Amino acid sequence: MASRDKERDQGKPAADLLRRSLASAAGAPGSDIDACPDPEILAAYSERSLDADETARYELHFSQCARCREQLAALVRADELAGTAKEKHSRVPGMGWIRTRNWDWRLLAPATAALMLVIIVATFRPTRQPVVQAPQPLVAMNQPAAPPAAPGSSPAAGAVARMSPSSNSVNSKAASPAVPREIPEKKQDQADSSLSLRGRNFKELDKVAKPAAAPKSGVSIGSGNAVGNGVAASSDSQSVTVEAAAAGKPAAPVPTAVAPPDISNSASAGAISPAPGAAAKSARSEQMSAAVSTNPSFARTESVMVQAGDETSARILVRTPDPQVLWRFSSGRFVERSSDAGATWRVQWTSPNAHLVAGAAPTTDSCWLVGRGGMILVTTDGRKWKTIAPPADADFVDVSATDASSATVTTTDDRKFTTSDSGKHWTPAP
Amino acid sequence: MTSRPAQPIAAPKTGPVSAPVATASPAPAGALQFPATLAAAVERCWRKAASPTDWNLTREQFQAALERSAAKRFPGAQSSPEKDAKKIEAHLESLHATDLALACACGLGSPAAWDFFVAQFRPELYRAARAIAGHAAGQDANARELADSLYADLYGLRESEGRRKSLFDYFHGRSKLGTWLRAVLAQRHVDEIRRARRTEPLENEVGEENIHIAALRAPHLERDPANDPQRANHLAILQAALAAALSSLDPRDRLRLAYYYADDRTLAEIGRLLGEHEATASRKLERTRRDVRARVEASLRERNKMSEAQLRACLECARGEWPFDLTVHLQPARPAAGNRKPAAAGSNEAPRKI
Repeated sequence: MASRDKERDQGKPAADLLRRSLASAAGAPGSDIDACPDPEILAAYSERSLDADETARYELHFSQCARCREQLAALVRADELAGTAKEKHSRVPGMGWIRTRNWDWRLLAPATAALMLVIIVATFRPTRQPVVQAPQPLVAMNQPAAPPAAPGSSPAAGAVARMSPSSNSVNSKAASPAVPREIPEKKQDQADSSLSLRGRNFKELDKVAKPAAAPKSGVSIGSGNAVGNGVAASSDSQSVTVEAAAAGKPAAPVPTAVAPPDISNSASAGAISPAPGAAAKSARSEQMSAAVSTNPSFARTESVMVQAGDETSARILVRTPDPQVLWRFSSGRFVERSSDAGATWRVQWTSPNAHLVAGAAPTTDSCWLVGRGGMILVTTDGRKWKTIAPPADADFVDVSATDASSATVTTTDDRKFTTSDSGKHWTPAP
Repeated sequence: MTSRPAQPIAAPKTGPVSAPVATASPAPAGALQFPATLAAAVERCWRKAASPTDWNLTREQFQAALERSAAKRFPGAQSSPEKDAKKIEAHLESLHATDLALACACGLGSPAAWDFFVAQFRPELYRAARAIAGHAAGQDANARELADSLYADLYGLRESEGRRKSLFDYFHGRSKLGTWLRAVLAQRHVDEIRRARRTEPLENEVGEENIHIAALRAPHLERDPANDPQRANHLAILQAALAAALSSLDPRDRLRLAYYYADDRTLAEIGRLLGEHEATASRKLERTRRDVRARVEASLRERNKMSEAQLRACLECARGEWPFDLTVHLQPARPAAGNRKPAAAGSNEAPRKI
C-alpha cells in the first residue's frame, strides 16, 4: 500500500522502535499483568458499554497485555459470526454508524448505481406486459364463458414461443390439452417471419397475426403474441425477445385457447384466438427502452428482452370483459390487477411457493386462477383472494369460469372438475 | 418444559440440580447492602428483568445479584453505600437486567431457566466456539470441547465449600449474556493457546525494559560485528525516550499502536477491535506515530542535547536488524491459534508493517 510504503520510507527507525517497545508491557506505568479484567469487562468493552474512565483504564491495560488483546480479537471474531457486531456498533451514539467497520465511502458509487438501476427497473416495470422467458411458456389470455379449446382445435395460434438457437428445447409439453402440440408449419413459418421482423412496424406484425386468427365466430379476443428470437449475446447467454401484439378491444366474452402448460416446463406455445377485426394497435419490438415506454397505448403491447435462465418468468395476462380491467400473474407467484388497461398494476396476492398457470375472469370483479399443487384462487370482489380446496391433488393447467361461483378446472391429465358454489363442491366434468 | 435440558452440552453426569436455592446462591461475606434510597432503582430493575414465575427467582435473590454486581463495580462502596448511591443507581440502570435475572435463576438451579437458556444460547454458543477455535478440519472437535467445557461450568458441576459453584455467578449484568459467554469462551481459548506456548522461549509482557537492558548486555551482542559501544548507547537512550513517549499517550492510541506494531494486526482488524473504520484507524495510527516520533526527537534534543546529526545517527541505530530483536522472542509462533495471520507467526525478518 502506498501509505505503508510512505511510512516505511519516512518513519522506519521510529516505527521499529515502536514495534519493539510495544511488543511488551514496557513504556507505560502501572503495568500489571495480574489485573486482567474479567470476561464480563471484556464483553462490556466489546459492547462499548463501559464508561469513559473504565474504558481508558482498561484500554491502557489492554495496550500492555497481549493476553487481553488476543481475547478481544477472539471475541470480535465470535461477535461477527454471531451477527452481533452490527448491533453492537449501532450502539455507538451520534454518527457512530458511519464508523462501523464495513462502511466504506468507496462503496457509495456502485451502491448508488445499483440503487438507480433498481429504481429504473421498478419505475418502468408496470408498463410492461406479458413477458415470456425463454424456457417458460407463453400464455395468452383467458376469457370467460368458454370451455377451453380442444387440443389442436385452434391451430391458428398466434402466439408462439420460440427459443433462441442455443436453447435446445421449445418444449411444448402437452401439459395442457389446450396447448396445440404442433403448430402448423405454415403458421409457424408465419410466426417465424414475424419473429424475424423485429424492428419492423406493427402493421407487418399484424399481418402475420391476422391469418392466425381462429375462424371462430364471435371470438373477439384480439391478441397476437409472437415470440421471437432474441439477440444472442453469446452462445451460452441467449436472450429471447417476446413480442406480443395484443388486441385492442375484445368485443365480447369469447372462448379462448389458453396455452399455459406447466410453468416449469422449459417452453411451450401459447395459443390465442384473435377476434376478427380486432386489431392490435401497435407493436414495438425492439429494446427494453421501447418496452418501458409510458405510452398508454403500449400497455397492450410489449417487447421485453429477458435473459434466458433468469428467474424472471412469464407474466400471464387475464382479461376481463372490460378492457380496462386486467389481471396478471408474474412468476406464478404475484397476482396483480390493473384498472387502467395495464398502465399501472397493483399487487393483490403473493405466495413464494405458488405456481399459477392459468386464469379466467368472467367479470371485472371476479377471477379464477389455477396452478400447480392443487392451487385454485378466486376473488369475488376484485381485491381479496381466497384459496379454494382443490377437487383433486393435481396440477391444474386451465380454468374457465362463467361467474364468480361457477368454474371448470382442468388438470394436467385432462381431468375436468366443475363447481357452481364457489368451490365448495366439485363434480367431475365430462 | 423438561426438568433439565434435553442434552446439556457438557452432558453433566450428575442428576438434576437439586441444590436448594439458598445454598446454591453464593452470598459472599461483606457483600454490599443497598440502602433504602436504592429501593426504587432495584424495583425498576426487577420490573425490567420481568423474570417468569417458573424461574422461581425471588426479588430478594435478584436484589442480592444486583448487590453483588454493584460491589464488583464499586469495590469500596461496601462501607458507605449511601455515599455512592447515585453511582450505584446509574450502574443499576445500565445493567442488562433480563440477562442478569436469567443468569441468576440458572445459577440458582431453576430447571425452567436452564431450559430457556439452553434453547436460547446453545446454538449461538457453538457458533461462537467455532468462530474462536477455528473452522479448519479437525478443529471442530476443539470447538465443541470448548463449548462443552463451558456448559459444564455453567451448569455448576464444581463445588466449593459444599456449594455448587456455577459460572453464572460471575455474570453481573454489565454486558449482554451472549457477549459474556463469548468472552468466556475467548478467554478460555486464549489461555489454552498460551499454555501450549509455554514451551516457547520467552513469555511476553513482563519487564520488557529489563529485557531490553539485559539484551543490551547479552553475550550475543558482542558477537554482532556491527556492535559498538556508541550504538548500544544510542539504543538505550532511544529506548528510554520511547518509553516516556508511549507512557504519555492516550490509552486508546497506545492500544491501537499495540494492535498494529506488537500484534501485527491489519488496519481492518484494528478497526473492528476498536469500533472504528479502517481509514480512521489508519489516520489515527499515523498521527500517533508522528506524535511519538516528535516526542522522542524532542526528548533526544532537549534531554540528551543531541544535534541533528546525532539524532539521525541515533534513529538509524534502530533501523534494520537489531542484534537483540526482542520481537522474535516476544512473539513466538502461534500455531493453530486461529487469531493470528499466518504471516505474522514467527516473522523473524525486519518489521513488515512499516
